Amino acid sequence: MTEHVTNEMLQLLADGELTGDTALSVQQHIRECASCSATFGSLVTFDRFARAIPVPVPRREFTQDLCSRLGIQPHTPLLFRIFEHVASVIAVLLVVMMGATVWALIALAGGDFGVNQEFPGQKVVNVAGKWLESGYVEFGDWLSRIIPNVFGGQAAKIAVMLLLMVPLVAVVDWLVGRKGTAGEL
Amino acid sequence: MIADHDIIVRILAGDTHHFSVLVDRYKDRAFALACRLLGNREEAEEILQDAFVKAYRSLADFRGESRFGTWFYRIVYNACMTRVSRRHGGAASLDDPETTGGEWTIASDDRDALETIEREERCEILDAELQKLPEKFRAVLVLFYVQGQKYEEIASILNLPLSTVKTHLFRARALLRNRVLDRYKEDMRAA
Repeated sequence: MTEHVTNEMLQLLADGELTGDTALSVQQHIRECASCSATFGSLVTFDRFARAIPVPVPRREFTQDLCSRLGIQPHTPLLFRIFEHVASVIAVLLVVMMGATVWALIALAGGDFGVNQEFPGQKVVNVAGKWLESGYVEFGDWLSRIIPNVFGGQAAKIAVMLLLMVPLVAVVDWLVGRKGTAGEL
Repeated sequence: MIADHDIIVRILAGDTHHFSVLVDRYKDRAFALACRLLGNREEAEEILQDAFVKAYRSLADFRGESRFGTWFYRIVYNACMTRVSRRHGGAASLDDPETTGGEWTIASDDRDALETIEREERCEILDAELQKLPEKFRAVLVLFYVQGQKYEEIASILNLPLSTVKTHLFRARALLRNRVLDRYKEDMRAA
């Protein structure tokens, strides 16, 4: 190829739209022709320059809003769902630990807190407490027989704690999910 | 990553929540196209929402002859052009007389000038100068540079012959390059 290559052809080469023999022939010409080589360089430089075109992005709530409009649930990746459940478990554990700490502090300061003091509905609470306690003991005994004697015989209690946490975690999950959806609407 | 075709099969089988995967996959680039064509974020988002709703409802009609992205960008592009056409009082032609015909020369000293423009300034200049181009030129430039589409895909999205896409892209680039360089020279003179 002795004649100069057209700018259009050089641009096609820069864009990767030339293939086969034509591409090879134009590349060969660029290597031999200073003028076409300079023009090609200029085109490539502008291409690099133009890739800096700013890309605006939609609002973060776009997908959620669209799904609400279509009446469909957005897809949540499995790992994220697992993470959400773990977060709920941690939240429940923290609340239980805080409650236990407060209870222990009050009990230490006042001794036998809530046992000797009268308050409305105390009988109902006492009955429910006794029922839960006996149920817990029976359930714990039953679990102790079927679960190996690990953690110094505490495996049954741990299992009961975990089982009791399941509905709590489910409630927290539901509340969090409901709040998240409602917030976007 | 699950292929678009597999996602569509799942959606059509009743797993509708998978549609949000397609939305997340295409919303940014489609928004960039709509934003550039309309020059307004709110309008672009409204058009994009409508386009996704239309795509969702006509998903059963998508035969997979082209890629989902191509099919969807075509919906977005057509919706944008309808809006633009309404703005222009129904005028079909959006040609800028300044951009039709003429010589498209490339000066060799362009290269040095372009390389001296800092990254931040590049974004600012491109943002402003791109918006001054006619919609058809903006469309090809965004599809090529932002979305990384090949010529044939651009032709399919814009429903234009391949040769027209080549011409539009060539002229759009030349025009943008000249405007960027003019602005750069003005700034240099002013400084």
